[in-house]
Amino acid sequence: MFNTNTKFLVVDDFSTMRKIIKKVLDEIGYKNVVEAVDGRNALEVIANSFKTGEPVQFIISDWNMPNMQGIELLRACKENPQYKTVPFMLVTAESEQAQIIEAAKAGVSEYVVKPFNAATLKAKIERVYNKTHPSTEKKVA
Amino acid sequence: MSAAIKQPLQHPFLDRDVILSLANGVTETLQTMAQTSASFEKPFVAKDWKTPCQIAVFLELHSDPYKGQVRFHFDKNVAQGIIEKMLGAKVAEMAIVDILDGVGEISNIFFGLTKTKLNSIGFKLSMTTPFPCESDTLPPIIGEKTLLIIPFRIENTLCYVELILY
Repeated sequence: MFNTNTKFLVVDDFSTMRKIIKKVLDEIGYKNVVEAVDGRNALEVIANSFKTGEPVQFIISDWNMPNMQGIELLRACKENPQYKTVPFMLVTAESEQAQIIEAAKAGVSEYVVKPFNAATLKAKIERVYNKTHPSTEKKVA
Repeated sequence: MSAAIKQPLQHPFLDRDVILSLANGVTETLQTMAQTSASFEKPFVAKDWKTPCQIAVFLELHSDPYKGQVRFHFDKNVAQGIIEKMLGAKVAEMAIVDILDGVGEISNIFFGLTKTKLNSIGFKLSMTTPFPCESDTLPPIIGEKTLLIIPFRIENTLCYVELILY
């Protein structure tokens, strides 16, 4: 149950991972996806999307990236009154307890550990979406 | 009174747990992300070894006071096949830049898993971001180093993990 027009931002320095996540989103039905290569680039994309009146509504970001890491991007979003309610999912190859706690403290909506299969990612995206968009749910045929 | 036997210090990257964690990181990543099986073969120590593969990924390892480098060596066709399975689509002519991007991401996941496992058993291991490249542009190994070569087979083609001990 979701709005297929929801605008997603996928942030990863590896294009292969961006393609994998976009494919999973496409399979769920989400077609409105923009991309960024690191945290700094992501902030530009988010700011631009709000300026143009078509704001990013869901962020899926890698943790380890050059220029600005995913955790720094998460903190920057949570400090911005405009972006702080945008659901934020971190996808990372590292799953040490300290990192998970750090992400939770920073306000992450969900944490996905690589390697993942498509079904796991789909389930987590849908769970976050349904938790954060209860009033905009739509059934997709 | 008997004198204690002095044991030579063994480089911690030769520890069984390190090797097993690396192997498990590879097999679990390939199975989960690309539904591909990898089977590991018997490791061997070498002083001089040249990869027969075309694609490599390397990174520096550090576990105070020890240092080393890990290199993954992939056959180009195997790498392309893995990436196609990850993407769920065949690619007629995959550009080298896309192959390097794919193996970079795969290796990132290998090492994330390995690091998490090893740190959970007390290794305090840190590592740099994996750097993918064509094998003929790998940085040279300066001086005489001990190399641990761990072959693994994907669809009947050999690929390798190379541990360089500093």
